[in-house]
Amino acid sequence: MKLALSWIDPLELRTRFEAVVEKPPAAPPWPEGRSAGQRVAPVASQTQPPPAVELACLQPFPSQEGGLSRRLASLIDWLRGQMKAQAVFICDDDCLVLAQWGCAPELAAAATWLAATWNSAGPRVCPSGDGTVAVQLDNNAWLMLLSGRSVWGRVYLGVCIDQLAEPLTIRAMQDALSSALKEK
Amino acid sequence: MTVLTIVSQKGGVGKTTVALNLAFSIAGRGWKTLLIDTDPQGSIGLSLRGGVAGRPGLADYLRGDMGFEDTVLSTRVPELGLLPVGRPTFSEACTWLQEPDAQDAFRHLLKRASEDWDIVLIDTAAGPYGPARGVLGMTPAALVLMQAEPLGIRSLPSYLEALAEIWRHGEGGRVVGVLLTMVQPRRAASMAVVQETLRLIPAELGFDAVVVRDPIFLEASAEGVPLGLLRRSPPPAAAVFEQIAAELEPRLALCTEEVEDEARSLVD
Ligand SMILES: Nc1ncnc2c1ncn2[C@@H]1O[C@H](COP(=O)(O)OP(=O)(O)O)[C@@H](O)[C@H]1O
Ligand SMILES: [Mg+2]
Repeated sequence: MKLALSWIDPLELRTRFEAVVEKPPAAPPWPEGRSAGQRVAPVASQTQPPPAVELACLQPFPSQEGGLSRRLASLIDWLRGQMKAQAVFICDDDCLVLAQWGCAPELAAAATWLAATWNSAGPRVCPSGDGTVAVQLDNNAWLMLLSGRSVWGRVYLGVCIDQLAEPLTIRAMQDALSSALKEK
Repeated sequence: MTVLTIVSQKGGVGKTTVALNLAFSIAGRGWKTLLIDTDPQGSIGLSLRGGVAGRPGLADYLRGDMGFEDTVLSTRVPELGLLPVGRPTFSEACTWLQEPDAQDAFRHLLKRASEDWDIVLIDTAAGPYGPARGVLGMTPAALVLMQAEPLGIRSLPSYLEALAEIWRHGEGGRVVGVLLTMVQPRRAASMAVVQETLRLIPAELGFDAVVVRDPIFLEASAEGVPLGLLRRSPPPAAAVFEQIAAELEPRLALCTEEVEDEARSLVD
């Protein structure tokens, strides 16, 4: 998503700023005891297919060094490997794309639109910013949208997977996102 | 003591103008402020009447010819002092503040300054190389000025990369703000740069204030005075430096120690 005047990669700029600003205190972790995925679209409640991701053999997202772009790239790799993501999309609260993989333009548009809506309505509906939004794209494609906090503000992660994720899987993705956003 | 270095990637964006007027405003807010000109071209001196350009200064101090006290000029504003650059020779200017001896002397100068001053504001030459690089390597905080034009923002990533490199090899440092200058509020292209910049940079580094392009700066420069001394009642553009100073204070941890810093009633 190119910007009109600056011609620069916002992600690169952020990584550059990371190197020259005082390290602010790390983003607060997600409050304990929340029920992940509590606002998952109710449409999925009837016939539950077996979980797509075997939780038992799920590798947790390894803690990352390096700049934001590197950490987000690792997150995408992890989502592809562990969650069998078909596409991944990460944008900030201004809908600037920070990283993506395998996203058709329509999917990117849908994900940014959801993120923008969440970003403007979210604080009124759910001030903690918790939760997940899930949209069924077709019989075996779901777009799961999660949000996390970074020192740059809120960041939205859209993951396209073949089944609606289980709460524990969502929790794992949420933790992975928080970890990738955390400054070392 | 706080040290703030005014820097920019490109020349002519208003570093000297901002350094001078900001120093005037910070001093006006009660902080003992020393403005040091480290641009070997002596821009601060050239911007001021009163023969500042001809006076001895940093060059003489670095040579060991003069002591700190003898190079600092007092000004009409009691809290504001001025350390002009003096007259470096051409060969001195070529390696200005980049050789170990000069760097030691400069560090000493900052240490000495900390005895008398709350904040040192440093005007630099443009870019991340040469003289500016020398100064940046020894100072902990930089205010980055960016002209509100597309070239300004496009050059920001490479400039930040250079700063990170300088601080990695030096004593470390940080950017405390990115200030937009030469803003033309009636030109959509200029305002688009302002908006895009504020959107792209970390929120805590932006300013609500911008320095607009205004012929009054040329007038002040022709008179050789800061805006605040141009007329009995200073022009509107002078007020922006008050705001920048106010926005900078918390970022520089300049805060009053008085316990009683509470809101006061207008009517008793
Ligand atoms: N906001 C402004 N509006 C109009 N002219 C300005 C402004 N700021 C600076 N100038 C003028 O532009 C020229 C360059 O400014 P200067 O402060 O010397 O820049 P730098 O120190 O970055 O090279 C000077 O002639 C100065 O008077
Ligand atoms: Mg200058």
